[in-house]
Amino acid sequence: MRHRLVSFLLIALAFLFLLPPVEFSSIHHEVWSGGVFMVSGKTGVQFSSPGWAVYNLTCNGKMGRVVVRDDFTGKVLLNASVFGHGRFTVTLPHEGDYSVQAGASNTSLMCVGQVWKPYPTKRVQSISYVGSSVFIFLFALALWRWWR
Amino acid sequence: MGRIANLFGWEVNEHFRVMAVVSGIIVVGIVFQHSLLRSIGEVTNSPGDIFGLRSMSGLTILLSATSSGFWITASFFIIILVSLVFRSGIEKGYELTLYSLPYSKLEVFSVKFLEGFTLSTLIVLLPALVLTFLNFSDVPAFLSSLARDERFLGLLILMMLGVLYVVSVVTFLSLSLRSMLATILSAFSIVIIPYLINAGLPPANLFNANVMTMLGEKYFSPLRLITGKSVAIYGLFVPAVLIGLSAVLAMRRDVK
Repeated sequence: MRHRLVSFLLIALAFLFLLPPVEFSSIHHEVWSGGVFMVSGKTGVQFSSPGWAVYNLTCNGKMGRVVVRDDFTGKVLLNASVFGHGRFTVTLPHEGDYSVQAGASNTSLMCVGQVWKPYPTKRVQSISYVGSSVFIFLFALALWRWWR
Repeated sequence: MGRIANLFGWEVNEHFRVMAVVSGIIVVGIVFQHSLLRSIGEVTNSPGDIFGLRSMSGLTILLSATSSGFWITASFFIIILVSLVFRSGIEKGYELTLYSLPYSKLEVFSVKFLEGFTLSTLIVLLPALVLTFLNFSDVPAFLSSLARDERFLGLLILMMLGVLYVVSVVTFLSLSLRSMLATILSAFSIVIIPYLINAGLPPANLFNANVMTMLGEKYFSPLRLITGKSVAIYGLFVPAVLIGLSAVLAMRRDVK
């Protein structure tokens, strides 16, 4: 068979493109707890999410505002005031970095956040399935043209 | 096609080498993808201002690409592949045919070494790049910031130097020892034990704390990374010496 390496690289790529959804199925019951951190003035926390996930945020303190921001697109996902105690559930729309910051005028708040049960986003899934199908098709084509 | 390219094409398309490369890419991809799927965070004074490899998503890529699990798995396939490249012909007896073709011994050696290095780089870099692109395909802003980041280039250079070290060690062993099994056994011990004991020995200490801090620093240049002590000695000097010795061995000895 001619061009054996190229043809079999195509099928390796097809398997590689399938990996994200397959591997997500093995971690999608997982919860990452971020620990306790302080939200005051300029101090805050920056964290990453592997996919589409739920973020549970609990804050205690006197009073203030807490802001959850999507760092890669700059969108504000949560901007809420806390009087003594507050619990928020935020949907993280895609993989990437997010940050928890203080609002404009704040006394310090103690917060704890958890990332819950990630899932691959729709675009990752479609690129993965379409890409995998395309490479399988190219592999079939390579077998048909280059066999003997 | 030139005659060197002809030899390279023939060598690259051999059954077992293709099999080692393809299974290596898939298994290394599984390891990389699994360690990519986690959430890490950091308390900072300026949350939300960090992009590229220093952001938390970039840090997951950095940690996955330099983790010992990733490199032990990759080394396994690289060792098998390179010892196949240099020894399978000799063990099966068709290497004499290859050496009776009008190529000098040095040409055959350089083609084989180039082939081993290219295929091993493919085993390590193809899964890392494809899966990085795939996992962050929903945030193109991050991917473009990664492509413009010098630290990401530094990480790729570092990974290629790690591959170069393993390939040169296995090349030297497979030319100096007299059997493929002995090559594989000794190469495993030399390459993989440094990951299991924390002694600061070569392939593992290319990814040690100093180098990682350098990748995370505010001011970074690839030149400073390469001229750093452990990278310069174990990533460039030792492989160069081993490759030189192997070339001498390959030219001096009889093909058997």
